Amino acid sequence: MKKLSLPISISNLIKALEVQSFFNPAEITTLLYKAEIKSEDLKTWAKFDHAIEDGYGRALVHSGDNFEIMVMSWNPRDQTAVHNHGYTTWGAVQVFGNLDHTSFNCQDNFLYTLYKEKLTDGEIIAVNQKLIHQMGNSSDEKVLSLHVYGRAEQTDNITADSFIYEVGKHEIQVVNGGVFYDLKNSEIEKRSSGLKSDPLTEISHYTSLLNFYFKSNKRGPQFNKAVKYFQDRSFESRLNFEIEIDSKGILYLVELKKARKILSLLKEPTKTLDAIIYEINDIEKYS
Amino acid sequence: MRFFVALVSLAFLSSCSYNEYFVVINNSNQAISISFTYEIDSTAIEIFDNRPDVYSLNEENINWSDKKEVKLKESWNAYELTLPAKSGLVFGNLSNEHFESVDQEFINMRKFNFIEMKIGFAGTETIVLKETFSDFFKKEGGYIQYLIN
Repeated sequence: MKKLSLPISISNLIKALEVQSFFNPAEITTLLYKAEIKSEDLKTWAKFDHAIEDGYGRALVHSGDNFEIMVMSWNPRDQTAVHNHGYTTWGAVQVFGNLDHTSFNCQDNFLYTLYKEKLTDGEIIAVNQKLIHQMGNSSDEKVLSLHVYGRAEQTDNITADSFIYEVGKHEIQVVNGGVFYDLKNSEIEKRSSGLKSDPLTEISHYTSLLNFYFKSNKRGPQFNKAVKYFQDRSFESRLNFEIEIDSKGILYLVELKKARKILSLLKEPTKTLDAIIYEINDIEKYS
Repeated sequence: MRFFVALVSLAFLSSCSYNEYFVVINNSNQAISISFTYEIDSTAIEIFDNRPDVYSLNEENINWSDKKEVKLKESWNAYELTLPAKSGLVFGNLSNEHFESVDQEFINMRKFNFIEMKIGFAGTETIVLKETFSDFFKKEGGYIQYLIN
């Protein structure tokens, strides 16, 4: 079998990762910075031709005894579902372009949004066992990212047993592959029900679903559910009564505007969202 | 909830809220073509999005009571439209904040996500980029406007 020769930067990274079995967030991010990996180094693993219903392209670069290196390929509008990282206890992600990143927490089966940020070219974020997040490409550029997932103990498939937080179905799905929306039943290892979420996370979920359907040009039961979620007149009153404007208040406006844009591109009416956004826009300065 | 309702009430009662609008004023006697490309940033409040409005003019000013329906050709981060003669395009706004420059620090996660506007008029095409925005758009009262006569 022909062995793929690795770019020097990747080879050096592997050597450095083999030195010890656990890296804390500061150590792994420093190590990745020092590796000076360039976007060109990852082109061999670029998978921009991935299936349109896949959230993003994924390719394994190297599988060590206790760590994996992967390259993800992000076409415009590609995104993950909300997920964690299985057996991973340490790791890092470096982006080579601009990607959206949202971080969540889940306590007692209640999922809530912590923050949203824009990762910029070259930026590195650390991964740990507690990280629940979502990544996506809202730009018009194709973007690559490098992912290192590790565990102190020797493990065959470090990212196996990952959780997908399916807010609309109120369930956590356990998967061993890509963390995509609308997975087939055969791709889901286990499910547990009873997942609840805060309104912001729920809105983001349905916006992401609409984005998925817009990107993939697919339609299905969840499409109708997502469209109706934003068109239901009771959504307006529910939101008014449920949202408490706190430090995340402005994020509601961001998400609702995003939902309105995608609905508009899908040629779906946006009357309910128009009314809500008009109202919230007026109080922006207080949030 | 109580806080939210209170804030809504406060906003409606407040007399000091204001808006500044980004507009193209077509004061000429012929229609102009406009294509606009803007940056999508799902983590920010985009000042420019896919919601432009067209109004008739009262002399060189927007006549807010006469909104016109125009056909929008739209894609993910761009749209095209024909701006009729004697009408104005409102393509963005700032509420409770003054526009100073394209590089200013905007409040509330707002982003000046202007990329490019192409304006076709009388057989010529003018291209406005973010870097040249202030060469074309001038502040007049509550408007940041590009006036075409």
